[in-house]
Amino acid sequence: MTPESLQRILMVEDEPDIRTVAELALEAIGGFELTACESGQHALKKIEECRPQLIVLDVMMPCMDGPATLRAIRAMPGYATVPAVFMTAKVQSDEVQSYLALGAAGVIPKPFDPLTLADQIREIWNEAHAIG
Amino acid sequence: MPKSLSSDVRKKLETLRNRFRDKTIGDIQGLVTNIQNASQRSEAVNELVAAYQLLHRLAGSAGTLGFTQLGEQARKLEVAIKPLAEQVTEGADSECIRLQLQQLLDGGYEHDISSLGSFLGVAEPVSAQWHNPKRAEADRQSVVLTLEPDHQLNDLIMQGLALYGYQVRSLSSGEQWPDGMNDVDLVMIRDTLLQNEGEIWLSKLHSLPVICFSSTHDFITRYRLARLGVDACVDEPHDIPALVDRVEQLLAEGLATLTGRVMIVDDDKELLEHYRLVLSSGGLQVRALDDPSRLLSELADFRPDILLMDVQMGQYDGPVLARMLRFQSEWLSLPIIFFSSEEDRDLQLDVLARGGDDFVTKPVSDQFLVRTARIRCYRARQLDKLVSLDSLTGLLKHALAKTELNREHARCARYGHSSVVAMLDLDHFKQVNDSYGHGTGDVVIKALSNLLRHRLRSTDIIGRYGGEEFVLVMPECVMNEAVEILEALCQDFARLVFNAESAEFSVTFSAGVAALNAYETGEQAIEAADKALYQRKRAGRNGVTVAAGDLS
Repeated sequence: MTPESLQRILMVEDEPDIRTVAELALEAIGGFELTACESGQHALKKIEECRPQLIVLDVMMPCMDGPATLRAIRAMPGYATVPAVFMTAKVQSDEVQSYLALGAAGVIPKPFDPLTLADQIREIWNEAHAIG
Repeated sequence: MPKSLSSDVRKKLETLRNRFRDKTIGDIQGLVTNIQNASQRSEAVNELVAAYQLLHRLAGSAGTLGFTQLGEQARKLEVAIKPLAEQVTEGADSECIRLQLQQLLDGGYEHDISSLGSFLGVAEPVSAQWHNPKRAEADRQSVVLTLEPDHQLNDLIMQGLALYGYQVRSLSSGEQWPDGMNDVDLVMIRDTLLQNEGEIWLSKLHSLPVICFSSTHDFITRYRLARLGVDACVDEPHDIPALVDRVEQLLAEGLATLTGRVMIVDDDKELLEHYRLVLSSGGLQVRALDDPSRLLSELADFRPDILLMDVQMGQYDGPVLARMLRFQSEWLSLPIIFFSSEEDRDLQLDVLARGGDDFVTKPVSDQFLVRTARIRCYRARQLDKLVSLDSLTGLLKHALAKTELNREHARCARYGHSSVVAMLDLDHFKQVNDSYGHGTGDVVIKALSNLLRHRLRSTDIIGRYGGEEFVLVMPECVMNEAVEILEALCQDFARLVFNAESAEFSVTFSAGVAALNAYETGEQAIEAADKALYQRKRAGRNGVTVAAGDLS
């Protein structure tokens, strides 16, 4: 069985520079359709329009952080199992464990390399599908 | 996809980087003010939270935008200030926090914060690791620095290396090591300049490959040079082809250590994720697998340099999996390293006998894991090279070059781009062997292979096809570009001077080229290039001829 191919990604990241780099990395280099949002609230508004197959979340954001955003998205109909990837500047094993416990399919350490971000995401996607 | 994609993306990344730099200058000023306020007035200690948040943000983003050093420094400062920021959010006594901050600042933190901005001057070039092959002219030249007091010899070396495409700079003795020398890839130095232990450049030599010009062979001198960090000694630097050979070897070793592909298998998902993150932040490419039953298909897909595996994974036994892998000849040489909490050496030896290569005893520190994996990848690649590369030239052997050619032919068919195949042959090579002996003939062959490797793109495939015959595959390259590059190579090779038995001579080569995508099979393209090569030989050698079928 060939897994469904990844096209639509929703990203939540409060920092404009990183959003722009990620757009380059995922659209121009990776060939995905990316919807980039500056906050969890914004993401909840945009999600119906974008219908993402995968969600990328920054962990630390003002107001609604990454884990809170993911919980809110998971509560919406149709998104209970959508794979989520956290991006974080902290790579300590207990923290990673807590993100995975939240149901994250993977964690990408920050700073990320814009040239390989798409590959990393694709790999997590394939992995998530192989297991599921 | 448009061809200009990579340069377009590169430009955008550069624009973003400049924007980030401009903005961060202001941010750092704000940070300094926050910290100052908090240290002076206890009612302003809550500004520490903003300072902490900014440092955290920089730690996560600066590296992505090319300011790795800034990111790392911000990370250090973030970790140091975190406990204080937490006290502020928990509502601890402000004056007490202020005093702790004051102590931190006096301990060097103040200096670190105010000098943070200087790291904005240090950006890496937008990465060279593009997915699309680079054009030949865009390849960065390696920079070689020479320190040779004999001016005549120094000029000779500089001219000789320039022919091979190196950028050469020189320093005279006593001259300061200037700023802006950070891009130097290799240093060549005369042994007499290393006599004074107080010399300014001694400290620079440990981080770079160093070739020393020295004709002294006694043990004490050589031991001293090795201790100073010298990697190679050359008696006669005026033998340019031999010198370039050493330079190539040393630079290639440096590159190979940078990267590696690691596959990890462990049924403990959290641990697996941790290993994955540690190894990938250590610069390795990682594939993590928690289900051993998918091992074979994942291996075939990822093709790692090494495999790290737990000894006991649920119903599966690591050593049995290792033995199973060895059933297939393609995984016979794959290094397998086990994670094991076993302290029992006998049991470990037993496991090794059943197909493993080594053990890492759990718990394993992050640093140790990265270092072990890197070294293992490096060794694996070295070994692989010995098997698949021609021992004299370090180029691909005949059969592998052909495999690569067919692979590129298939890529042309799939993606519709043009690629070029070329056959090269040294002119009158038999005369070289007959007049100067086979040893000298080997030097000429090595010189051409070094020139090719150095001047072509890293994505070009170069193989030694026969005795003095070479094959090139230039992916995503149009014919006139290929001809231009090869003609320049012909001219420069002809200018190299070889020495043998007090005679000086030079050698030329001929080339035939064909458009790989214009033929039905890779084999036919090679035949066409070969025919063009023989036309060139008949037409006077030392030049490039395009296959007849490609001209119409």
